[in-house]
Amino acid sequence: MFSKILVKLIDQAIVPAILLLAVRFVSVILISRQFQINIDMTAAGFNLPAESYLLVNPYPLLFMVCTLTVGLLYILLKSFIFHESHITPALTARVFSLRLSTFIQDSFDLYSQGTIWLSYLYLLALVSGTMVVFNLVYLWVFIVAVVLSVIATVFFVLDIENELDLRQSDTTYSQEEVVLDFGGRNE
Amino acid sequence: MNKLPRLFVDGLLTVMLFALLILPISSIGLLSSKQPDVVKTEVLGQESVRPASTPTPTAQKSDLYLPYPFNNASAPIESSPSVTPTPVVNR
Repeated sequence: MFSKILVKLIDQAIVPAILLLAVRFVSVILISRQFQINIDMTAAGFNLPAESYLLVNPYPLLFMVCTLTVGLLYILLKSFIFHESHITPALTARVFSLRLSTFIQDSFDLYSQGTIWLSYLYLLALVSGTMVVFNLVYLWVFIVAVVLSVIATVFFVLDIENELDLRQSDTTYSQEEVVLDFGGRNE
Repeated sequence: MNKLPRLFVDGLLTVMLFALLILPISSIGLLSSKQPDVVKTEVLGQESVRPASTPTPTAQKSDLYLPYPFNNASAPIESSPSVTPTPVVNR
């Protein structure tokens, strides 16, 4: 009844959403303490003096971008090395011997995870760009977000291309096999 | 017949997905700046401090003294220089 892809995407979006919220809250508190700025916690959020807003605001944003990048690196590592479709037999044996078989995932899991984490990174880059326009964030935060999202996208696309090539080569092999079978029957 | 409930559920799931995507990003808006406790103003070299909660004082018309020509008063009457007509000589 439900769309399998949508349910999977929602399932994958919960963890990064909670993680990003936690990173935001913790980093705001830590940075305001680091700069010795009095920060008020109200129901509406954090209140800090107007003159120190630009001092505090960029760093939590940067921490969020870094968290997303680390998460994407983990997903890319899994998709390049531990991908179910092209993991080497030796590595498979080693992973199973270490009881880390959860590292080995299929394309559906990996690409849904990657899509969600990349979407978060794009949204953060977009928001930081908007904040740069209104002088609420330093320009270099926006540049870091854009560069990291471009790099992550390139590696993600490379892995998808590898996967498509693998599937295509599998298809051609099976076609050849069918042809050979057909020839065998004729003889 | 079966497509409508599925469409509804898919739409609901899409909205949930977008909400989940926007939720952590919207947390950026939780950080806001507050007005300073006191406001320092300097008028004609005199510094004054007032609480930010009080509104900005507006000057009454009677408090102000503006020199001419900003005070809408009529121009001071000055004695106009006497002009003596020059005689026209017909040749």
